[in-house]
Amino acid sequence: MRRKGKSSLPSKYVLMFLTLICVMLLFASYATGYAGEPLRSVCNYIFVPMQKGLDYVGDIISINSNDTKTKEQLIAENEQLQAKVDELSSQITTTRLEQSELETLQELYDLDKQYSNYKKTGARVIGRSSNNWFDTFTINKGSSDGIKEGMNVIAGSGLVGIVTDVGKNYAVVRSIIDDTNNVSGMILSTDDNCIVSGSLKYMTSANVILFSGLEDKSNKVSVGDSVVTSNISDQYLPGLLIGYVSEISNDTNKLTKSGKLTPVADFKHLQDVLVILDLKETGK
Amino acid sequence: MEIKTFLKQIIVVFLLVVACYLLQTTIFPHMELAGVVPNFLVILTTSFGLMRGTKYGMGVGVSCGLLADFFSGSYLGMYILIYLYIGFLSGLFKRIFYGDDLKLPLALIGTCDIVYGLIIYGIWFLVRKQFAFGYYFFNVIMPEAVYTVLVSIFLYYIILKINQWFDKDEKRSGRDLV
Repeated sequence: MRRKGKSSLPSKYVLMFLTLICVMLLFASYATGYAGEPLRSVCNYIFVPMQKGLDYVGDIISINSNDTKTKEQLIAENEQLQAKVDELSSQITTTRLEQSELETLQELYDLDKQYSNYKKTGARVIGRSSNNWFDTFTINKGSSDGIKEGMNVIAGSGLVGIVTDVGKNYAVVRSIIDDTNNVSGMILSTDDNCIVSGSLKYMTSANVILFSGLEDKSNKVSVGDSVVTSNISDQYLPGLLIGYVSEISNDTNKLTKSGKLTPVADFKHLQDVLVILDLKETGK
Repeated sequence: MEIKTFLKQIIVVFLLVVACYLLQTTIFPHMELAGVVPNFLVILTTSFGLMRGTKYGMGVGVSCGLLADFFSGSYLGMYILIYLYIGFLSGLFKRIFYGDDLKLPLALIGTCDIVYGLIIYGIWFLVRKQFAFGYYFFNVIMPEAVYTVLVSIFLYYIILKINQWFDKDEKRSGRDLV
């Protein structure tokens, strides 16, 4: 290159200079929460619209396991499911009775049915994290739709994650199965608290995440119990279903228990999620 | 190099980074093999570093890192730093680079991807006492490197063609200058 002759700055100095800038950026964003707002608007107008379109294309060409089943398999599966439906519909009848009883009791006690009262908005997943280590994804709603950092995200019946970063018309969500994520959880049947932490290792090998620090002195918690977000969590709204206990064991300290739980949300095929627009009141 | 040629190169590289980033985050998560997605940004950074030297590698690395940082939802600067060094290190191999030979670029891309995996493991997993290195190495780092190398066989030729076009363009504008 000709120009190099005139202004030949050795590249190791450039490297040192850029490294210094990066380190300064890291400190700045750590200390002040600065996240490069001017450059972010570039992302808004270039990436988000393109991601929306391309994710749809990816969806179409993805290898769908449902398409590859044979007719016999489908018939067998259908029969199984039909049996399940019959079983469940009989259960529903009993549950409905219990439900109406519960409602009368709740009215008596003047309790709010708080779970269904959250304001929610639907959003579409338009991009995944840029590497295989973290379970974050981008959704197509941002601050212009009222999304704020710290809002909880659910899909189907279960908790999916929490909004960690908001742009004008996109938001980044860290899912509960991400290795760095911790949720304060609670066993629904016994109200015992525990910590639910995501795990890359167990999620990829067995589709489970971990929980720990469960104090269960009366030994009542068993496999299959529902785990929900606890009411002492400072980030998650109480009572959102996380998953079901699939394995439980005593810790070596003989005081607490830990184990594994299967999350209810299907993280492999996340497409549409609901963002809860209420934020947890922490009294701050 | 004339300013016009320089600008043209910046635009082309920028478009390439955008395209790779979009592929990596939208299309390929639907086509994951063994639970991993190939790392296009490493391919891009390494190839440009190898073909055009350290400064170019650093430039491409910084833009790749910036994008990865923006959509990662964590602190700004971490990925920039990682990709910056990947670009610089692969730039050091420019002197033993001969155009059409595929062995060196593929080996380098594979190595860089493994190094990238090791760095991420070190920064985000080892410090949180996730000591099962063997598991992460054989289930995340290696599959990713293999898939990345596979994809890079195709992507590399595209980048090579672009590089040749850059070279020609530079020569032409240089002649005009004289």
